[in-house]
Amino acid sequence: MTPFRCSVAVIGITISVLFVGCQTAPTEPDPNPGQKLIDQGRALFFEETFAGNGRTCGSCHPVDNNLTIEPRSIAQLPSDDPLFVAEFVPALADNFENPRLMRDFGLILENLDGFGDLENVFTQRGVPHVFGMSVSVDSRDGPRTGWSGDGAPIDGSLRAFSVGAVIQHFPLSTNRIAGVDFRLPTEDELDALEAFMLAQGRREDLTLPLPLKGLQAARGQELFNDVAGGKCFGCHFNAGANANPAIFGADAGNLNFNTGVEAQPDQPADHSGEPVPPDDGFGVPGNGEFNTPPLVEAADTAPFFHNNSVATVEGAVAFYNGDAFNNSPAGQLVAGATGGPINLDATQVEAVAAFLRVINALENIRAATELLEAIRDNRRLVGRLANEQPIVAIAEIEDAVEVLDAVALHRDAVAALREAHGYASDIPDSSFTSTRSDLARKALDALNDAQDDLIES
Amino acid sequence: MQKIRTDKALALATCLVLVSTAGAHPMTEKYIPVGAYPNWDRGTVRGTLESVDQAEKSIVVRTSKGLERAILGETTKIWLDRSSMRKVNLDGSLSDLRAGQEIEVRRDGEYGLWIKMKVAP
Repeated sequence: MTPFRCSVAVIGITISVLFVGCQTAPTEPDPNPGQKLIDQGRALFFEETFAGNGRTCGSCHPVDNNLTIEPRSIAQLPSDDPLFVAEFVPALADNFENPRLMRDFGLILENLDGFGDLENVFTQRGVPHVFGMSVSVDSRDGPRTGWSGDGAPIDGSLRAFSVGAVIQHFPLSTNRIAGVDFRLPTEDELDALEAFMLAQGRREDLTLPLPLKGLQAARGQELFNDVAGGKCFGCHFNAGANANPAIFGADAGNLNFNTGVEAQPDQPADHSGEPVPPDDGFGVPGNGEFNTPPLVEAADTAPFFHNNSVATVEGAVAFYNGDAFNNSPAGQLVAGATGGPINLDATQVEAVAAFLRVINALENIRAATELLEAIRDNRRLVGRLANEQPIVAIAEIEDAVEVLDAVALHRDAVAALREAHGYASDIPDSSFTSTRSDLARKALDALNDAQDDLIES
Repeated sequence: MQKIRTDKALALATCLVLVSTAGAHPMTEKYIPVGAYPNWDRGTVRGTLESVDQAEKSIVVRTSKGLERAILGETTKIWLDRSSMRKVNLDGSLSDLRAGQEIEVRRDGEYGLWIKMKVAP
């Protein structure tokens, strides 16, 4: 380093130190033990490798991509990212992941029917987001985690889920020897991880019908809740993950169904030439059932279903028109109970999808608003790093733009969201608290305008 | 929301008996050492293997609360926990079970869903 460069660097460091002071956002005063647990869980979720292959929970559930991954986000990762350990760790080269299926389809290898025959007995599943878990895991029969509702060992709880995840995804070799290939989370760590996961995203379900302003989305909402139309509300009550209590009982909660997703023809991964064994879902051996996911967060977390077989939300709605669903046990039940199969025309499919896009955008706005209010007030939200708050807010706004603009919904809202995005995008580069607060305030105003275009206040 | 007719609601409610019960996934249990989570009340019996009845396919476990029995069936998984020797855990069988060994059993009633036996050096 030359003397000039050295001097510049010293000045730069000095300024940076001063600015770091300006950027420091205090957390809420005296957080309660529950809040501390969430913060601890956040650190474990994104930083702890459990003495394994370098992956963290955040490897598959990154903070700035809706806590999930898909081919587009995977393509942006460096080649030495721990997600790709099967490509550069010899002990994990065989039967740990299928790199092509991971990169092309976002599929992760799971040994849900056991580890006795790694070469032949496995499934390939997408990565579900972990939003809204506080309102989407419980059922009358106990907790349901993962794509088939039985993702956790021990007692099947969300607390236990991380134990199974470490064993499946974190080991240094497929021997999976505890204390050699990984270390198991302690019970305190499991408590913290559970608290963090439960704190992500929505804490309550919507109450439908919403006073939506868009005609197409409003019609989609009607069809969603129509027993002669989309019939969606039976399993996705209030567009969440829980079954309709009027049909399934007040305490039904989150249920499993065999909806025939595995029976779809022409699934993209099946045409890859790579081995993709059938996924038998819940249990060992499986009974073909999979867990009902929440729909509020669906539109910006494509691809859809446990096998990432459908790329668009319109395609996901249209699935319920097809033979795969209508010939499935769940489809037969719906047809028997309602007098016929689901049979939506293309315009109706798009209307239901428009509804799902709008409620997703509203959730994006809610999440971004929460973050921007914290930035405006120079606060750090529990379970967030201060410097991550604007990044996630920007990502949420981008998602809202994308889900609406992709099908030209709500042009005024999209314009307001873009305005909000412009202000929010300047926040990470702004060193002064007052500037950040002002930018956040302007972004919040624009977000409010966007929301006003989507729904009656 | 359109009001659901009672008959349709009742028909849909038949789904209740057809949906599965929730449950823990057993397969990663193979790699969790015996006693790894001692404070976790998970419906398992943990203690020392008191006896093995090969003919009746049953075992008795001595726990801190007394003797507990488990019946083994076709679907009962048996795993040999060798993690304390830093060796890979193995699938086992009834004939591998030895009295005196530390053991953990998950039961449904008396039926053994899975058995983990610690194999000491």
